[in-house]
Amino acid sequence: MKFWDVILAWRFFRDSSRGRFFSVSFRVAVLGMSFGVMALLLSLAITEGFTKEYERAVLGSHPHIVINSEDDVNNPDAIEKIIQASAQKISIPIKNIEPVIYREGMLIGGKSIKGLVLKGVPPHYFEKSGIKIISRAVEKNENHLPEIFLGKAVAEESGIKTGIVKLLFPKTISQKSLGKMEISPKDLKSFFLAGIFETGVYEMDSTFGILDLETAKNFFHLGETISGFETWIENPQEASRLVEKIREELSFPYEVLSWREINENIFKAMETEKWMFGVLMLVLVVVASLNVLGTLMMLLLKKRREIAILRTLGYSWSRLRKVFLIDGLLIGMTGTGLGIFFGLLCEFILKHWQPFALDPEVYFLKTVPVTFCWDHIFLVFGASLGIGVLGCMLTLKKISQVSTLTILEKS
Amino acid sequence: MNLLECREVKKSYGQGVSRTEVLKGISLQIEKKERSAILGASGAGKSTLLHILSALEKPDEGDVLFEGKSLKSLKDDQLSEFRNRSIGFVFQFHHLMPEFTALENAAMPLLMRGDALAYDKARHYLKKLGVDHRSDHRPSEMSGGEQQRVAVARALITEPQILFADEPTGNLDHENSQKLTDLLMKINEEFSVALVVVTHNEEVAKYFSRIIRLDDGRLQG
Repeated sequence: MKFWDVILAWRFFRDSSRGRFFSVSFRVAVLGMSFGVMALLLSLAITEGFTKEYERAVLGSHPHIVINSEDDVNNPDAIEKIIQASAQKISIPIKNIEPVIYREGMLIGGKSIKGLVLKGVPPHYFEKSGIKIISRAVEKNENHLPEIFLGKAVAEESGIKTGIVKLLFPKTISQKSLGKMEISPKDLKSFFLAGIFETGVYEMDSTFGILDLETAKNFFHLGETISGFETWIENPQEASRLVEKIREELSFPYEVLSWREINENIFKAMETEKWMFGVLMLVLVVVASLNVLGTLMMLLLKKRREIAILRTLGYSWSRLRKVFLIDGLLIGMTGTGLGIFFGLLCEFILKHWQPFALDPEVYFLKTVPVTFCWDHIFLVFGASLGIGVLGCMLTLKKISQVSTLTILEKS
Repeated sequence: MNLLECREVKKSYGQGVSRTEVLKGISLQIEKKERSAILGASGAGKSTLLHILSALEKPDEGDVLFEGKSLKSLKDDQLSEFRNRSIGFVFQFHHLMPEFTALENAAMPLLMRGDALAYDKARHYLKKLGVDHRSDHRPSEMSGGEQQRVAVARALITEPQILFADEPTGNLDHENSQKLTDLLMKINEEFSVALVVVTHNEEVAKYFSRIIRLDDGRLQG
């Protein structure tokens, strides 16, 4: 391609955007395309934002791998060694392995009775897991009751903010008495509310109560028995690989799950949502691009005379195709470029000013999350540009079927 | 050797019942530096013949030879190159590109080649044709006569061996028509270019050494 071809294409493009009719229809078409591109980019950024934020929230509070047993684990040291050995075999560095105890209970008092999962954890668990303690008890535990931390949503929903927390344990509820539950005072156990924690994941904040591992062992008379292990590794994305390895060693009654498997449903839902949004918005871009295609065809039809002149001067069809390919690219790039600019501007506004509030109980987030992604920009740019170029080529093919003589005589 | 020759050229347009045979077997030769005028009534096939001779259209049957070489087997790229290097065109409606100045229009065939001297040569030809003062003007800012002169400059800039003109005076008044005819004769002498001009104007045809008359797709006489 010669430099003159580029100049020629640029002059045609500039002329089209200046003409009376074209100035309006051309700008409307390009603007339509840019809005389509903007919508596509934004929807991808927001769905990606939700996925990333949820991943971040999950990884900030969830262990990367959970190993539980249908029955309790009576030989915790042996199991821990198996986990360590499995990780070593595939060279995945482990950060922490923490023994945990799970028991279920019912929270009594405050506004309602609420089901609660009690989790016994070793000291410094909060620091290691990344779970934030958002408030600590001011008063002292004068009665030396076992201490408990409640999830933020548990505390809010039950209305318990300080003092004593009463818990009822399932073994006290018999099958027969389900209809008219009778609670004896000895089934109720008192705990001292030491603080309130927040994981960022509503499911956890509304279900869990955390207490010290040793306290749990004593309280439930477990001895050295635990429920399982929670494991953190250097790179959470390698969790699935390690899970596979541990599964080779620990079969039933053990259950080994990665953080992705524990939250499989929500991640699947998000992936589907992302696809759906992407496809819908792509349809929008295609519709907008059809508008640009129409304008592009008008440009080429309007330029039929010039095309015929260029043919007489020695332009071959293949060379003319290149000239109008540049025009297609220029029109496509203007629409796509503007769309990407507006899209990024909206992303910036959403990220920095957060104008839309979300209900954290539904979305686990307070604001609309946005994640900038180069892949999306390349994808959107490529798709809309491709449509522009395709349109140009199709129209030129149509024109090349009409003889130069006919074009010149008609014009 | 003839500069240009066509042998038994036939050309039709349309399909089925609407098929019209425009050229019904034309054979002719054009010598170097020859002045030929193609005369005929409207619809006789003058423009079609001109476009086939200039390799813009391909004949359905027959062949066109330039300096003894057949154009039949050439591909579009090769024919385009041939048009750019060996042929000049002047049309009735000048057909200048509205987006470009007179200088750019005149230089266009050389700019396409990437010739570094394109603008210098264009200035030279515009001056020779008396429109150099319009170099920076766009076609819409020039008179019909001026536009036609720019179109002639564009046709001459590649120093072609043959200049085709399709009703070049058809859109001009008597005075400008006379001026353009004189100019074409001058070009023929000065640049040793063969002229093939389609016209229906008998007055213009008088200036040509050879008259080719077309009637209903056939050569007369």
